[in-house]
Amino acid sequence: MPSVEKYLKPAVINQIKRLDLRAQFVVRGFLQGLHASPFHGFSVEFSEHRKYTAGDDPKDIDWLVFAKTDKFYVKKFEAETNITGYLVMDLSHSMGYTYRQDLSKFDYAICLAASLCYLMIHQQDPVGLITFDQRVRDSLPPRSKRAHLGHVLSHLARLQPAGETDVAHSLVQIAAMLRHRSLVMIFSDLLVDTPPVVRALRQLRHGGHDVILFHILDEAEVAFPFSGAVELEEPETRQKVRLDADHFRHDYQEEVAAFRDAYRRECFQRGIDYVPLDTSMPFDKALLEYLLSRRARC
Amino acid sequence: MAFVNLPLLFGTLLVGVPIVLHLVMRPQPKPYLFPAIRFIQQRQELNRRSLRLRHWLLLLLRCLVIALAALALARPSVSSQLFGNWAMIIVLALLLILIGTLLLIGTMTRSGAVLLGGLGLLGAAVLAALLALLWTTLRHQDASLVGDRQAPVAAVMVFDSSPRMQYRQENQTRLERAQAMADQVVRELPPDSKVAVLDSRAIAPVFALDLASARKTIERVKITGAPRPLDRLLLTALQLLDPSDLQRKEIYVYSDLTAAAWDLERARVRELLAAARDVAVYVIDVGVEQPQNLALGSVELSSETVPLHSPLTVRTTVSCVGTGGKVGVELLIEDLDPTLPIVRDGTVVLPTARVHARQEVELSDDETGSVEFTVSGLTAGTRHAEVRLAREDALAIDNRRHVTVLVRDPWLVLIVAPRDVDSAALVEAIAPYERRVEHRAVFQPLVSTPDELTNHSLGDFAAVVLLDPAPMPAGSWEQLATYVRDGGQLALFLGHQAGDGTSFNEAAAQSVLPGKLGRPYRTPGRDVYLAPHSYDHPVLRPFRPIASSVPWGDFPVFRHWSVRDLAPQSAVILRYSNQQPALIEHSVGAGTVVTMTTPVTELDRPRGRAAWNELAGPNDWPRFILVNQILRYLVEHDAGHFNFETGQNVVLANRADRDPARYLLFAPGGETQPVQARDDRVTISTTDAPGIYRLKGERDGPVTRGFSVNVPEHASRLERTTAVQLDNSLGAGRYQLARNQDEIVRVQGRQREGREFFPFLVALVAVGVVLEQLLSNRFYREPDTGKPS
Repeated sequence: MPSVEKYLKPAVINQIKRLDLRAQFVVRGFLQGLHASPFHGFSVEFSEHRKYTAGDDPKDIDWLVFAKTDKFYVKKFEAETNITGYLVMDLSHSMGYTYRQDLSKFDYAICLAASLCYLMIHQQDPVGLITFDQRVRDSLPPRSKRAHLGHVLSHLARLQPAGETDVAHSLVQIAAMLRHRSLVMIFSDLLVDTPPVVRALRQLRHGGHDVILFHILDEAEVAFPFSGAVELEEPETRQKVRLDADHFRHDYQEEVAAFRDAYRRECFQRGIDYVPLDTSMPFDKALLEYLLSRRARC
Repeated sequence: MAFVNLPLLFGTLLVGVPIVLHLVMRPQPKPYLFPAIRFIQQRQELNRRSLRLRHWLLLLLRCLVIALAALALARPSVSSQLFGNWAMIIVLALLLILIGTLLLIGTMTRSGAVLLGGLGLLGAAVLAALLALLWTTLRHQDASLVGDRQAPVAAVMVFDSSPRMQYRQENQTRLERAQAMADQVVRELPPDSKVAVLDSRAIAPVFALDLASARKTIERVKITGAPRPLDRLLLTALQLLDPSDLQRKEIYVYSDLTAAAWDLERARVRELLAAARDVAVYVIDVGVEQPQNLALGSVELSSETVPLHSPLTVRTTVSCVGTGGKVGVELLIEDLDPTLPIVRDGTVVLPTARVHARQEVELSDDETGSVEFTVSGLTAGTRHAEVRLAREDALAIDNRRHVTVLVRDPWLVLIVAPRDVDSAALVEAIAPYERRVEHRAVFQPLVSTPDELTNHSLGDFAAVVLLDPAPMPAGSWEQLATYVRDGGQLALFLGHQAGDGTSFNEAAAQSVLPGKLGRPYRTPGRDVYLAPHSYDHPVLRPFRPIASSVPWGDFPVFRHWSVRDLAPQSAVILRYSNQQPALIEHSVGAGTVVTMTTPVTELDRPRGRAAWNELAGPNDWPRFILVNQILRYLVEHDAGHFNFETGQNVVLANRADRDPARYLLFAPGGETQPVQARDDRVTISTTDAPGIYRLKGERDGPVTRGFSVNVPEHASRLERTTAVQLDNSLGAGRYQLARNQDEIVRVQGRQREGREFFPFLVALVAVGVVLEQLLSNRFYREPDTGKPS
């Protein structure tokens, strides 16, 4: 069913209004795309080796061990059940921005969060939801029941981006909230001062949490598609800037790249997965990032 | 500076359009919400500055292109002399704009102070140079009227109508060629133009009524034998143009550009031309680059008054310009016929001229030779002759020279000498026996004593000589004084007979003497002799070629009279070595008295007294010449001249008691003109044409007189003036030179319309447009990357 893959494209998934269906389509499309991928045993964790016996799938033979011992061993897997994931949603007003007027950063983030939630619940991983603006607003405790998926999705569907945000403060709060080692997936445009956020991320990481930072920008915020004289207004602060877009595009793109590079560098140093996204990118990149991250924990 | 389409200059106002578009019509920015504004703020200031700079640059360039385009369409032109200046001004202005732009960029991008300072200094230097050049150019600009080719012109056509312009080439004289070209120029002058025609004759020029009459005047221009130099013609032309109301003033000089056409006033002409910058000068060269000509030089005669039976020597030179060869020279002598000339059936009948002699001269290239003819046996009367080249050449005016001499009977000279004075010596000196016998003597002497003086009618004698006069009665002195006052000539050779000189100091004697006689000067030695300082006086002129070899010291003077209180109108012709006067000339009424203060007929050893001098010693040729010259001077003094140069005023003596009072003048061209004698003179001032002028009158039968007029020798010199000389005459760059009709049109165009900036400006506009395109493309190009996907 190759047509399912088309749902990985945000433009297509945006036509589906129900969030649960969106998540379902995204994940199915993703899984179908991964059919022949090396991530075959993605839902189980390696536990031990045992001797190959007739009837075992030759695929499972561990050829590294064979190379060392000259004997056939197969890898034995078992399902992992104790990764607690938190979807951390930024509710800032800027997240609601969309240049094309179809899929805002927030929509994109919700769609991605829903998909991840769907994926995790299907693996019986508990998923919680935390939203913040200037501080933590709501939080759903992590559950792995199927019914919890409905709660999370319905909560996500109700969220509205509004007001100013304080990412650093909120992240510090979250770090204080989480008792157990968890996988924290942050969805934000990070349009705030960098150093406090970086400090907060460090603190979060210091708490032993795995962090995936989904840095979501609008495609206009990346490509700067304006031309001619424009007056740009910041939605949160109402600050206005007049400029000639054509001349500024190059400079702007350099600035954005520098901004992303700064986060990427910082995150790499701290062992945080940094995923720069924009609203025109397909969802599989984000999902793949999650899986890679999860695998690294094994 | 002038503009062909002046109204289009208002197009420069269109530079306001881009400025208005830039300042007023600036588009309102489109509002957008944009959260990622933080990425903008950091670079916005820099970006805004560079953006503004680009806008100003483009604006400047566009304004410049529009201004230049408007200027180009208005078609500015400047006079040729100033074109270089204006081109330099434009280049400097562009350089200044460039420097200004760089300064602006430097200021906005906050470049180094050293760079900005250097640019500022350079800009100031360029600005100073620009202003200086602009000031200089505008100062010369005021009077240069260019642009409108059809504006009426005040033009003076200056013709060099010297005899050289008769040079014939391609069956056309230089003057005819000049006339044809001038006619064409006048024909093409704008309507309402004023034209004056000025030729080498001394006639005050005026502007012709209209162009047609100007053309007629041009047709009537003729060669004149007495041309005025071109310098003076130019001065006249400038004076004529000065008060003209018309703004455009032009002088056309038609000349063969020979060096002889110019005078020494070229410095003044150059100054005046430099001052009158509103006058355009066109020099039209109608000359020949390498002329071929044979020319006869001035004629030198042994004497213009030839005694009957005396030979006449005619000398002249033959010069060759170009290729030489064998040249035949002929001497023609007119028959003497007192009834001719006469106007018969409307034509002037002249006496026949016959070839008297012919000589051949071999000349190499550019060489000058000489010929000499000796004519004897001429009958008495005014005789006309002609020296001419046997063959004609391109320039005819110098191929013949006219000669007029008066052949007359020997001059009757009365020699008054006391009995004991050796008058024979003087007679022998002035009329040697051999000549007297053959009737070839110049003088016919008659010797008389002082007592017989009253018996003679002195008016019959050409001259009276008093040899060593003794005191005479007052009546004799008065007779002499009357004779001299009436035009007689008197020679006085004072000697010992004068006694103590007191009677000579009485009033009667003083009426003919040049001053009072003092004591005789005596010296025993041989240290006093005749010592001429200069040989300019006609009496001494024959000594001039041999001045250094005349042995004056061999003829000492021991005694001579000293003269004091010299009459105011007297002149000392010759002095002794002691600086005392020896020969004194002074005028008394219409006559002349020459007084020598020592005798010329002193015997070698006089009895009973010491000799006064040894002038009559052995080998006394200086005395011989001196005595002859004194008498010749006295008698010829009144005889007048018969050979003149063109343009000279001719004055002939005309005694009312023996000559006709009215004459008919036959000029060389065949015109006749009545001439009236006044105050014992006949004056003829119209001697422009070379040739023989004949006067015919009636007094007891027909009387014919005449004279010859020749063009000056230098008037037919064909050496060309060089470009440097022409620049010296007129000022470099102050005139336009043309050789044919096309060149005239071209230089007229250059002078009247000036040189246009159109191509130059269009090229600049093109460069400006290309630059604008390049800049705007660079500033507004779509980036290769970063387009929204």
